[in-house]
Amino acid sequence: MERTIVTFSLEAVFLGLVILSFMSLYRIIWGPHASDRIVGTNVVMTNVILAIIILAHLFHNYTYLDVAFVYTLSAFVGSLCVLKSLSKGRLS
Amino acid sequence: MKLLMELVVCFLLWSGMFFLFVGTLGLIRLPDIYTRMHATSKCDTLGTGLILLALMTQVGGYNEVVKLVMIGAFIWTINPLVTHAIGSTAYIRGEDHTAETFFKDCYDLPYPGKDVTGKEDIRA
Repeated sequence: MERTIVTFSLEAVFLGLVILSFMSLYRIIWGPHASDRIVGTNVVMTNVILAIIILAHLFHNYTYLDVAFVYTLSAFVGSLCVLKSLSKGRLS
Repeated sequence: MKLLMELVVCFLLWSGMFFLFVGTLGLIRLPDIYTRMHATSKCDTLGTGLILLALMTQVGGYNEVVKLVMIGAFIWTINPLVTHAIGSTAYIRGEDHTAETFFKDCYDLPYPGKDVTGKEDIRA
């Protein structure tokens, strides 16, 4: 793959996504309440999806788009389960 | 023409990155859970849409574009839904907010900060 300005921008955006995930790790670790931690994990979820797609494009291996798809749905189900358990005190 | 296309793609990528950065900055800096939720939800949805739009012009065939459109549609429906669930959870649990915030009574909660039967304390 030849080096163009788009390739450089994609690599820089990938690096930026990793840095933004570490920035929101502050809110996950030191968040005063449980809901703050869930907001932080939601941000990390979105960043990881974008990072998977960008790496799939950079490595020319588009099988990983399916991985990103499944990751979206499973993260959605996971955060909804945690929220239900937090608001009702049980999962049923 | 090729250079113009590359510049447009770079503009989309960097503006999406800007919105994601502003959302994370709001997550770190803002004072309570409702404002943090407001910042991250809108900025993340817009930034994800812009970066996915830039990637749709770069991947090769129609299969990949269709998959990217599906991922974008799912994120655009899932993100506001989870945000609404977070907001109602924070309201039901009765978490702190800043002094200027006021609420209307959205749900009829008999015991705020406890579970529905009023016995267990579900606050963290």
